[in-house]
Amino acid sequence: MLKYAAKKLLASLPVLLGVSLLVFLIMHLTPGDPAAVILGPDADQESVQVLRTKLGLDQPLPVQYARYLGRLAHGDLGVSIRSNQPVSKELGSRYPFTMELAVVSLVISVVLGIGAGVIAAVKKGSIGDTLTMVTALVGVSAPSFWIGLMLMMLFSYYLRWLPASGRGGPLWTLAGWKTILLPAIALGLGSAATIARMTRSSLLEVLNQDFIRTARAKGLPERVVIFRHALSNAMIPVVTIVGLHLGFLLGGSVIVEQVFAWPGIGTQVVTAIGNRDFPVVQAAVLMIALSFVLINLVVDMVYGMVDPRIRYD
Amino acid sequence: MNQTRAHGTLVARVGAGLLALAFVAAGCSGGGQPSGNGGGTGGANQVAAAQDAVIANVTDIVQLDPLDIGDEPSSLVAGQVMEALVKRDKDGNIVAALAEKWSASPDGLTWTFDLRKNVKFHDGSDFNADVVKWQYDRILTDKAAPTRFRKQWSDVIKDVKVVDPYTLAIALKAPNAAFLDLVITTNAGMIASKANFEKLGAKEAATKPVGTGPYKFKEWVTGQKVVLEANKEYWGEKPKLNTLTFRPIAESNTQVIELETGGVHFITKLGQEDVNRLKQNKDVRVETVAAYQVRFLNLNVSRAPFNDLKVRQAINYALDTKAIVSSLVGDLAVPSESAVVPIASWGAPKAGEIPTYKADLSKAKALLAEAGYTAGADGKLAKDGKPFKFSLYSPNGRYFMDKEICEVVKNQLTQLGIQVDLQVMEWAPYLEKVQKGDFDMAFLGWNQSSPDPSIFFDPLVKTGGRGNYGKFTDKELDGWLEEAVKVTDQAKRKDLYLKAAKRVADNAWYVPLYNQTKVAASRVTLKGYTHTAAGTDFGSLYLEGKGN
Repeated sequence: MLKYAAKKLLASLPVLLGVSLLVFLIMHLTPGDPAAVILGPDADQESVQVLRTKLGLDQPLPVQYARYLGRLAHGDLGVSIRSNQPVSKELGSRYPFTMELAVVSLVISVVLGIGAGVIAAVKKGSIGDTLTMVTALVGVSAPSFWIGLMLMMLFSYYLRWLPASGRGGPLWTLAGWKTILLPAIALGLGSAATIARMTRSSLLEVLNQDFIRTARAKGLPERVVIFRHALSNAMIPVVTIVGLHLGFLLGGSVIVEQVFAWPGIGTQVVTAIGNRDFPVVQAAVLMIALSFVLINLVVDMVYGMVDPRIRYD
Repeated sequence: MNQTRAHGTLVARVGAGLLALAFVAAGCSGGGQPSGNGGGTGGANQVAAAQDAVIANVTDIVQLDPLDIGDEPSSLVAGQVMEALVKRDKDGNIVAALAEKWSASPDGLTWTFDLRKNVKFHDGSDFNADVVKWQYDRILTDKAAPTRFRKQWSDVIKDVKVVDPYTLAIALKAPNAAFLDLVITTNAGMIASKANFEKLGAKEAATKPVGTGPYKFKEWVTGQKVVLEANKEYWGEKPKLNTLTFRPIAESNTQVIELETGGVHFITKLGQEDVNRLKQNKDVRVETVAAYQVRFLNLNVSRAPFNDLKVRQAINYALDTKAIVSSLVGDLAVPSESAVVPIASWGAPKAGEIPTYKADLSKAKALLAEAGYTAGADGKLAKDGKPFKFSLYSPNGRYFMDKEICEVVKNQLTQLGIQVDLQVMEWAPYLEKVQKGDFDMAFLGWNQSSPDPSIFFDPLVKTGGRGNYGKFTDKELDGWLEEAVKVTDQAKRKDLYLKAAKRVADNAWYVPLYNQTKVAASRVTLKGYTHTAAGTDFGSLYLEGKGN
């Protein structure tokens, strides 16, 4: 298993290199001069040129990319063009908050999604099933920022139960939970809906299989049939979706973070793209890509836990 | 059977794993994050009744080395911690700050500042002429220092000399009546502690600033808040608040909800609909005031079709800008006579003092006919077989209602038979395009923190001015503008600027749109703040009653 993990990790190196090249090219080929943006519309051209030289932006692209890779190999993510502070420090202090939000919304979406999926599958064709699936459809379709604003209106403005924005503290404090709930729900509802639909269809498929009929014929209680026999067999596609969604939640938190003034990298990346702050955008995308790769690796490992027939050779 | 039992418990195991992951993530992010007290919790009744005010900033601060502050949020925070030699009072006049008094030599070439004595930086070090010279030299010559303000300062200043510990002499390259406005009151003019800089180094000092201002820098939690605390030893009126916290909240909807629920006391990002709604809320006060910010359509006179005065005048007559602005921007804009000078400036022309182009379609059509444009069978205008077609560039949301205004402009001109190629762009590529002069017409704005007319006229309309993207040139006008910064008598300067504003209007280089207003909404319990175009001074803020 360790050998498998090492092999997978090694294979992900070209992926990361590709991502770094792609982001580098997209950022550098998009029109818009960072020096001009930093100095603003009232800067004179002389000052802009001085800054371009200072930032190394007057060098040919291959030279800039080679320098970037060289620094990366030494673990140096560069210096933010806008703030002149090390990118590792800027993103490092924010990344855990993005991760925290993504993981809490994943937990919420897994609990809601699997719960709703099971109910819908077990009560197939009932009003509960239809209602759950319609809600899931709305959940998939509604943009997270809109859900976020609606939640904020309801829970912060009308009911005054929860604070509207910001991060109150770590998760083991009440203030921390109070502030993370709304953004986590707003972010997680879409994933919950997908997980619910996936759980429902996968479970329905399993429930039609012979071993379920056997289990029922043995007189096992329905609860045991569903949870012990059917659900665990229906989990593989769900685990894949859950793993992928953690990646999506990491990347997708950008807008929700903005709405809830959540101090993660999302807000940072939005500002950095607007300012053409290449080093910050490149590093952030690389961090998210790396997380994605690691999450996929973890998902692969989880397959083995869920289904012992899967072997890592 | 055994195998299925194993499966069953695995579902639980995966769930438990996810929960554990959540707590691991929480553990990663928990270190050193303070909780509560308005910093991040917001919400109803959570702002302490003590004197702790929370201000919403539109983004997080970038850094606080005065030499490299180019964004509003950082400038706002830095301005509470650090001070310049002079400052602007609520009416926009320059008054004493770290300099008690100052004077210019008869030839206008040397300015001498008498510095305030017994002023200490928050780190206990002395404020004196040496520190000021050190900082000014950093701006002017230090190779390792940020260059953001270097040209602006070194175009004006020749050198800086310490006369005695509390007297500073600044020699200028040429007399400049707007010296204090143009140089000393810029962000770079805020004096930081030299001792702190030497102790921490440039990078760290930029995140832990030490100044002489009414508030001391306490902490900056990236993305969450900047906390300042009262400087009990402040040389001026002592602050009444215990702490002043700035929270970055990017969304205007979120800012408004935080204000209404008492999570913050003061916000500056709100749209027209929010203004109208908040005016009905008795717990909230909404104020708008004309800012030193002008908005206009910039015409490029270096190429056809706007190299023709008649065409520029025709466009001005063709557009009903007053109606466009009042319907789209409403209370958030004040219609302006001049495209260039903000109405809050002492140099702003009064109604009727300069020619304005009132919407008049028949005049527009007549001028276009004089310029040689005739309508074809399809109603589209053309000259010498070439259609009247031009590009209009607009940023997307950089200026209030920019894109929407441009859409109406396009619509009104299309009805006249003019083909407008409207290009709405993101700010960075837009800026690149406009600065290269690669446009026919562009929606632009000019924001300054000073009302001095030179700061608007010189860059925007002087030949080669740094904001003169339309390539305007008028030698006589240049002469007036040069003279206007040499004379010190404000009445004479005003006359010159009036002549200049009139000439700009005669040349029809712009289509004036509106003067942007500065909006603020605050809890009614927040007192001691005067909302004017000039700066934002939170030094005398205090909270009344329960505080939220």
